[in-house]
Amino acid sequence: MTYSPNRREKSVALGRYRTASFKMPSAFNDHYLQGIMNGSSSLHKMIIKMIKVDFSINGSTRHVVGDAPGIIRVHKMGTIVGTNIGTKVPKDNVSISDSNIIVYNGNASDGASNSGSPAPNYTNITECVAQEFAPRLFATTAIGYEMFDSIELLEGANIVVRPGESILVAHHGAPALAGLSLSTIIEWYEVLNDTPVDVDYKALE
Amino acid sequence: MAYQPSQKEAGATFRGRACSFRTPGRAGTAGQKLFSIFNPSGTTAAVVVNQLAIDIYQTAVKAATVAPPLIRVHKITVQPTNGTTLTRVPKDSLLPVSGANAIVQGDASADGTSSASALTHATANGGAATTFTQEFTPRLITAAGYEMFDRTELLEGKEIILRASEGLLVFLDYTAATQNPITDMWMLSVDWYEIP
Repeated sequence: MTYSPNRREKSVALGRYRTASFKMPSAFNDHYLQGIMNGSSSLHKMIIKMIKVDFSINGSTRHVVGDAPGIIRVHKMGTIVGTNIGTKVPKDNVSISDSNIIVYNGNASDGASNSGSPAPNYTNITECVAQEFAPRLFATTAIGYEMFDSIELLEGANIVVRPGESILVAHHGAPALAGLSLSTIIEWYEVLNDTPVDVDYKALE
Repeated sequence: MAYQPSQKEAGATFRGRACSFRTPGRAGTAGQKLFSIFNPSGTTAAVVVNQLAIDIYQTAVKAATVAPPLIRVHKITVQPTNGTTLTRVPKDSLLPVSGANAIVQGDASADGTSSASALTHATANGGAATTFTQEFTPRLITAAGYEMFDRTELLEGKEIILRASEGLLVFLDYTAATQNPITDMWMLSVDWYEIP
């Protein structure tokens, strides 16, 4: 997908950021990959522009045909709690981010196991805004070509995250395969809470 | 294809998304109604659907001679019955909650659990006349190699306007149970906004 900032974003954004997760091994059942929380005291709202996920499986631990793949789900929810604080990387060094906006990674370093506290209700489909089945590498053979296949889950749809709200990227119901690894990227921009964003909000704010 | 908000969204009273549960196939010979979004009669808002994404995984191989189901998106004028009503998730919590303007229904009541009563509508196999778009389902033929991320977006950013008593139905058109066994799992999501 090609992403192009709109004119509104260019003129009102206080900061434009990305964050990338560490490489995360699979874990049994549900675990979260990365989250971003806009704390309730924040003076900014976030507009989530893009969430990308990629996935790799090494040759020693592959799926058998009966293995259901995991589901990647993006949840829009209230406060989340984590322990591994991630880095907000500005797209322009003069960017300003509210300190109440916090990135949580699912693990503490590349390849480390999931060690973050699970967020409440993160399997709740009532908060789901995007989803996709994870890829599989079948056990019978390791043939063929694995192409670039990271998935962009929002496809340009802006998600507004106001103070007290969060976005969480989770991997649900996955088989725990050694050698399976996931990564995520989130892109957003921040504006003051009372700043209109995008033409589509003009009539409402 | 990238979706870009249109000028029409300037007056949107609601912008939302909804996701299905992981939905098992229903086998049978008459196809399966998977998912719908419907604007009931009597509403004053138009529902503009931007995106309709679908994905599938299969845990049993299919013979190369078993044709894949054809995924068809139909425009319908009668709301489907039964199934499971799904939650509308606002893309901005400041926006008022969607009223009765967009009713989203699926054919599973929990991940991997079919709705107690199947999502029901009069649409039947061979209904090309009301089809907006269509695509064949992927097939797991040899269970070798790598299955990549392959969710497909059916509307390609084109806006479909649903006025009162109109909706979209995602229907699997097939005639043999082996084409859509209960071990096949589907998931769908939809993105829309509402304008007066």
